[in-house]
Amino acid sequence: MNKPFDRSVNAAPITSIRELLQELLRHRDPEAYGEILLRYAIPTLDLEPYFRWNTRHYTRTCVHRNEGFELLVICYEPGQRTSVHDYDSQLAWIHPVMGEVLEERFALVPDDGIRRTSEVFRQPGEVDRISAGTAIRRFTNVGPGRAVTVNLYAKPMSKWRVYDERTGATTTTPPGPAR
Amino acid sequence: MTSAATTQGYLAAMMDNAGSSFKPHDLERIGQLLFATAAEGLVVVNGKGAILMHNPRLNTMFGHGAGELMGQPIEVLLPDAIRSRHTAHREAYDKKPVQRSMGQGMDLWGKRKDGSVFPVEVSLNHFEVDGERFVMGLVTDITLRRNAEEDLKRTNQELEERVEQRTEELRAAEHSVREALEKEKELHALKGRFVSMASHEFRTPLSTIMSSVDLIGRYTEDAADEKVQKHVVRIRAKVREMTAMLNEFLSLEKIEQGQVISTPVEIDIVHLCIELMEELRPLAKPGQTIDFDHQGEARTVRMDRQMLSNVISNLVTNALKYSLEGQTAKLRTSIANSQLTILVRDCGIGIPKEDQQHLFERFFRGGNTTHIQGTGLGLNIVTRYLDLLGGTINFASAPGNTVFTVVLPQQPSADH
Repeated sequence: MNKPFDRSVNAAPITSIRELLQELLRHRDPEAYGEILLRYAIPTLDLEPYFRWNTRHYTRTCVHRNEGFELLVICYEPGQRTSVHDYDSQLAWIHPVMGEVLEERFALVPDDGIRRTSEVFRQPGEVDRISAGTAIRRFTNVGPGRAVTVNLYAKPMSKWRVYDERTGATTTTPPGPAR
Repeated sequence: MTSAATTQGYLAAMMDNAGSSFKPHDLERIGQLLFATAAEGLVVVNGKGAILMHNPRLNTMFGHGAGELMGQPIEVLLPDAIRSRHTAHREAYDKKPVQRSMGQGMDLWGKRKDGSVFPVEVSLNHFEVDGERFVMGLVTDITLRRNAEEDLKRTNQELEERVEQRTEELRAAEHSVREALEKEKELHALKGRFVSMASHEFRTPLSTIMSSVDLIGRYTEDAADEKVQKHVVRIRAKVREMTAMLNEFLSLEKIEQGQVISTPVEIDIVHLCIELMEELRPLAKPGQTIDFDHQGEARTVRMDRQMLSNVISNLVTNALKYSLEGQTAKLRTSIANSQLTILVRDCGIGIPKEDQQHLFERFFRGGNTTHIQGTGLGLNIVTRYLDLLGGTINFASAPGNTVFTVVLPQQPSADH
């Protein structure tokens, strides 16, 4: 279920990656991760070392990974998009920090592949929480400029599944246990 | 000076030698025989240069009949132009006679009765009989030797001329080759610049086409216009193919220009492979899947991201390209002993045995792939990148099962 967080209910804003990681490492309850992300107020400049741009595809850069979570920076050139995908048994938070991202949601239809069910335009500052069972998504940079999202996965993803929109066939990527 | 007495004593000594079959009374006859049968012309003149005696060979050599030369001045045997000079030379010799060869370092000529001249060699000696001095000349016709020398000289000259000519031709050929090489280099550079410029310039409009097609696809998705969607999908696929081909040309050009340098960075191999799968997914045929699995705890490698991406992309692209709809391409990675191993397996058409030895050659395409679009550059580019990364590649292939295995050493950390 998607639940936008109210930034106002939490304490002091987090203004650096180091501070964010300290907060995430201090908490073991994944539900706390969402609360922590709500306090995200990191200047783009601080995040830039993790930006990678590729004209052929969006990029995924790992900021930190441990047994409890994995923090990624996802960079999209204009028009770039993810595949239609999900990741089993994961909690995830998608936090746009730059540009405008279209989130499309899909559902599995038995014997009929997949079907798009809804779409939401995500703006910087919002936090999108994705839980197991509702995870089939596609994200597209629909803005005129580049877009960046900070993605937090708890635990680190163990499987990445790509759906073939035409046939419903899936491509699975089990990355193996996190180090 | 040689005297008649000395000569007789010399001959007598030979007679006395043990084993000699000659008797003293043979001496005169032997002397006559030697004189008459000598291969050289023998002539004896007095102090005035008058011919007093000569052997038959001298007549033959100079074309005179028997007795014609007797009493004649020796100059009768010389060409007209040097007769007067010779008289002076002879008189000088008569005053200070020594045994010597004539005309050393000079060309000597004899004159036949018919006026023709021929080259000769002459040795002079003098002797005295009863107090009167005589000069004996030994004349050799060296026409054949001179002709042979002339022939040799001419042949040498011809050879030298031919060598000179050949050297000149070689110089000209070398010049032509150098010119051709320079032109080839210029053409190669021009071709490189053209390919680079064209590929780069083509990619920009292709990117725009792709963006526009994406937008058309998005605008028409709600309308569910299947015909439009079908064409959108087709345009997307073709634009991707063209972009991939242009990228291959650009990659090869950059490698050949030495513009590709390994820059090692820390890479999470799992997310890199997910990125690449995301990028390559649109190339998949309906129902095709890419099955990725990373084995082991270690996920981080240190190497050049772009080169590693290109190696994996090329191999996975081939796996999809040469597999049928609905088939799965498998991508496996593992890290052990500071080495990254990448394995790409497909169950496609396979590589014919006769083509396998040429597989990594530039522009080579398998005999069973003519109906499938491609440049024949992909695997060549892979080997070029692996050379730069210090990696190796092997493969095994049969219809329905082709496996490429790449092993890459980790680049040392900057901290080390």
